[in-house]
Amino acid sequence: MTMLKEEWVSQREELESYLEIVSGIGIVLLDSVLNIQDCNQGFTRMFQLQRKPFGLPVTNFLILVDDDLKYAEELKLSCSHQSGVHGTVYCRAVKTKNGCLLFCERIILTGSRAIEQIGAINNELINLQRESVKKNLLLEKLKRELNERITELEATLARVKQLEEKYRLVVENAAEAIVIAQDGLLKYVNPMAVKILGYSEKVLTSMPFVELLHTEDREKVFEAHSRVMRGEENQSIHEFRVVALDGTIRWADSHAVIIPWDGKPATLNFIIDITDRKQAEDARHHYEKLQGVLEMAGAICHEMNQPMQIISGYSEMLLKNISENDPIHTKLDTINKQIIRMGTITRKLMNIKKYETQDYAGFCRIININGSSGEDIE
Amino acid sequence: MDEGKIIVVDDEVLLLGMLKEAFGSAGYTVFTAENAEEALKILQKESIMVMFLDIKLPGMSGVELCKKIRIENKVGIIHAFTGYSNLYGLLECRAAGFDDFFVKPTEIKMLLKAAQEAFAKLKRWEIDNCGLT
Repeated sequence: MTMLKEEWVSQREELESYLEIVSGIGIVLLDSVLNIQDCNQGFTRMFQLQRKPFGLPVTNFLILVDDDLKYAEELKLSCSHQSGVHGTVYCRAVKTKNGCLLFCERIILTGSRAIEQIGAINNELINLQRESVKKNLLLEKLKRELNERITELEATLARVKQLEEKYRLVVENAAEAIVIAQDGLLKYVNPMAVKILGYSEKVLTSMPFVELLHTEDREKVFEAHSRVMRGEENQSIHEFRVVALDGTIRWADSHAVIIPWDGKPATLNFIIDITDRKQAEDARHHYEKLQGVLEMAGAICHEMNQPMQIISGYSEMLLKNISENDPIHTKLDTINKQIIRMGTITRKLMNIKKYETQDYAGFCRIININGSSGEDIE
Repeated sequence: MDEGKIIVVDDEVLLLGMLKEAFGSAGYTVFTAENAEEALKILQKESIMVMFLDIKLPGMSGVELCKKIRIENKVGIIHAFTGYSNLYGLLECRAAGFDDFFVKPTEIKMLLKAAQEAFAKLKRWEIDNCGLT
C-alpha cells in the first residue's frame, strides 16, 4: 500500500497538470480490493462529498460489473445509488502494481425522467440516511451525556448517602436527646431520648409529647413550642421536668428550631439531661444554706453563752447562800433553770447537722432546731 | 506545787470576775488573765497546775496557748472552756493537749468538781516527789 501511494505521489505532478487541463475529471486511487486509498477534489466534487472517502469501497460510488477494472481500460460505469448521484461515468482504468488508478470523467445525464426521479428519490433517501446518521450521532452524544449525568448523579447520591450515614451516626450517638415535634407528637426520637425517658421509640412517637412533661412545666414548654412554630424565634427552655417511664423526674434544658418535616413545619429540639447538674446544684445550695446556718449558730452560741455563763454562775452562787424558804430563792431558781434551758438550746444549735425549716405562724419559715440537730427540745 | 492555785483565762471580764469569786469561795487561789500573753507571763512566775482556758481569745487562741503550755508542762490539768464548739473543736482541743472540755454555760458545781478532781489527780500522782513542777 505504501508503494502504491509512493507511485501516486511520483505521478502527482503529471496528474495535477492533467487536472488543470481537465478540471472536471475525478481521480481515485484504489487498492487491490477496490477500496479508496485517496482521491482528488474532482472526485469529491463529482460525488458531492464533504471529505475524502478513505477506506470506502469504490462500489459505493460506481457500479462495477465483475472484472470491469481487470480487463478493460475504457469503461462506462453507472453511478451507484448509494453515491446519491445518478448517471453514467466514463472512466479510464490504469493498473498499478497493487491496485488501480481510476480517472472518472464527468457524468452524462440520461435525460430519462424516470431515472431522474429515481435519482431524486435516491438523493432524498441519501439525505434521509445522512439525517439519520446525524440523528444517530446526536443520539449517541445525548446517550453519552445522559450516561455521564447518571454517573454524576450516582456519585452525588453516594455522597449524600455517606453524609446521611455521618449525620445518622452523629444523631444516634449524641449525648443530647434529639426529637422532632409536630402536631403534638414526636415524629422522631434518637436513642438518647429513648434512654432518658425509658419508653420505646414506638411508644414515644405515638403518645402526645405533653404527657411526658411534668404537669407544672407543661404550660412553659408548650408556650415555647408554640412560639417556635409561629416562627417568632429559636427558643431555649431552661430547667423543665420530664417524667420517665419508671416515674422518675428528669430535669432538662432544651433548644428548638423550626424545620420542615414531611412538608409541614416541625420543631427540632436538642434536649440535655441536667438532672445530675441540678441535683449537684441543689446539694450545693443546701450545703451553702447549712453552712450559713452553722456560721450563724456558731456566732450566736459564742456570743450568747458568755453572758449566760455569767448569769448562770452568779445565780447558782446566790442560790447557794439563800435559804430555800426565802421568796427570792424561788425566783433565782427560775432564772437559773431558764439559763440552763437556754444552754440546752444553744447546745442544739451547736449540733446542727442539716438544713431543715419549719413553718412559723403561717407567714414565714424558720430553722427547725430540733429537726436540724436531730434532738428534741424539752 | 502550790496547792490550790488555779488560772482562768477568758476575754470576758465579767465572766472572769464570776469565776474568780466561785473558785475563790471554794478555797482556791485564782489567777485571771484576759489573753494568752498575759496568761503566759503569770505562768512564768507562778507554778499553777490547774487551768481553765477559753478557746476563743483575742490574739493567740486558747488552743495555741495550750500547746505552748504543754511544751513546758506535760502534767498540769488543762480544761477548755468555750462558748462554742463541735466535734472538730473537741478533737483539736484533745490534740492540743487539753484534758477536759466544757461548753458554756456550765454549772459552777461542775467546774468546782473538775477543779477538785484535778487536784486529787495531781496529789495521787505525787507530783511533788517526782519533782516535775
